[in-house]
Amino acid sequence: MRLDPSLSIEEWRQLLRQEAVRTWGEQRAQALEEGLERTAIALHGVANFPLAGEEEPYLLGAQPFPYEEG
Amino acid sequence: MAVGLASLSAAEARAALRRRELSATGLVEALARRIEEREPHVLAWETLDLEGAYRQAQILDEELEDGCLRGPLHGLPVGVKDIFYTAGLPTRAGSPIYRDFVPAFDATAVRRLRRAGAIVLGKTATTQFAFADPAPTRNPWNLEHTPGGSSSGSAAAVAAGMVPAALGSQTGGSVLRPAAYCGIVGLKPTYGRIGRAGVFPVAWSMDHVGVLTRTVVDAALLLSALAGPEAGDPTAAAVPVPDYLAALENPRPPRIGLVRRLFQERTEPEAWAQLEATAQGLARAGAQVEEVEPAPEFDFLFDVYNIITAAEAAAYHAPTFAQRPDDYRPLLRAFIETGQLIPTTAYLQAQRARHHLARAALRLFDRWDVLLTSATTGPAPRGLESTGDPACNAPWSVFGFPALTLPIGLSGQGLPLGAQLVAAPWQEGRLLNAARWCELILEVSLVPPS
Repeated sequence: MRLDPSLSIEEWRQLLRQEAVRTWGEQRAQALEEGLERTAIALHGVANFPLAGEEEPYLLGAQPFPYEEG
Repeated sequence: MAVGLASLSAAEARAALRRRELSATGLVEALARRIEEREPHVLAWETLDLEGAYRQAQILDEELEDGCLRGPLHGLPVGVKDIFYTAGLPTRAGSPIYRDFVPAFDATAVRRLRRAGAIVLGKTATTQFAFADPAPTRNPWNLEHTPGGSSSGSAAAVAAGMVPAALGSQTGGSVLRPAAYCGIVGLKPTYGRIGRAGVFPVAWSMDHVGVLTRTVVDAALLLSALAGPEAGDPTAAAVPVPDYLAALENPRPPRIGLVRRLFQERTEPEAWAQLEATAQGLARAGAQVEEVEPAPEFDFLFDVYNIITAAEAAAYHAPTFAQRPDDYRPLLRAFIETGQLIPTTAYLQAQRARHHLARAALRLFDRWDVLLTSATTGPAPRGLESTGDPACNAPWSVFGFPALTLPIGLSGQGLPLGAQLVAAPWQEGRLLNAARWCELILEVSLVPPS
């Protein structure tokens, strides 16, 4: 799945459901409805988060957070 | 009844032990009697090791007689959430997969407690793998209500007077929420302040070790023993550790930023009204209290939280889950199955967004010592099917900021309500000082009915 900012929450939910059926089967996909809804909302949000700047990817993995010592 | 000794705070017991007015064996015996009374109702413990605790107490008493003090917790019994490895004591994480698992070594936090002289009384009940499927534990304030989770047993045991302090862990709200529901103090320090080696992870970049106690001083006492770097544990930050007990010696009225947006809308009116009344009371007593406004991007916080926790939990459990899916309880099973569908790019963007948000959140402390908001969305929900909503705590777990729950009163139903104080990273001393001042002003000490 591509992190496409143009997708609506409902489109994310449908994509996730298709993937859930393919991965876990129809019965389990039905049991995941609530989680799929929550994840669709979260994916929509993350896809549209206003990320800007170039340096921060280098911080990932370097230290937990970019904080100075207290 | 053993309420007298069992009701001592950790600091009171520590002082009595040092004055030889109390022995460690006497304290263990008193707590054992209290456990005998309350445990059949509260179900806070997964494993009790009263014999081992008594033997250890004898050793510590003898050492004290010889003038030997192991550390700041010498002779103090503690509870340990059952996701922390304990050498020679079962560690089940609420899972049948680990029913017979007995670790060969202690988690860093347990090792540091023992090194400081603490006595492990037993392992407290946890939700399965510290996620959301409830433990059997009940709220000591009303047995028909959840104590919260995932540190369910730790919170309930401390509130019920079965032990003065306990270890917990928090990924979303698993220390601060049960502390609020049970009317006690919960402290989650800065991410990395306490080492996590030997703890079953939920989401490794979001997991924190924390403590549950009945007073702010006790939280400082425990943190003094737990905080700081540890050989062989790269998860413990190499950041200097101040003297937390000294930080409490002169409590000062703090500059408090009251955070309404994102929290008030998630909090029941009664609980929010109590928080506002608390803020007003603190202001009247000399604190500077003003509203602070989180940046607009904070609306993405819960999306970031949901993506990171689900992806990391799914990744951690993937090998075991592939072999034994039916041994996972329904909520965690669904969480893992959903988490395995999350695209890699979404996880990585969520981590980048998290850094942006954390930097923006740091600016909230430009003018304030601590932030104040609700500790939970309301009092402990009725029923044992859910452990409650972590929405008020998750933001500070995402940022890794230190946060503390302070009891502020009872709801109309007679259930505890808490306030949540938050400080900038590594500023646990400032947080504890502010919390101690608030505790002295509010004079709220909650004891559940027996």
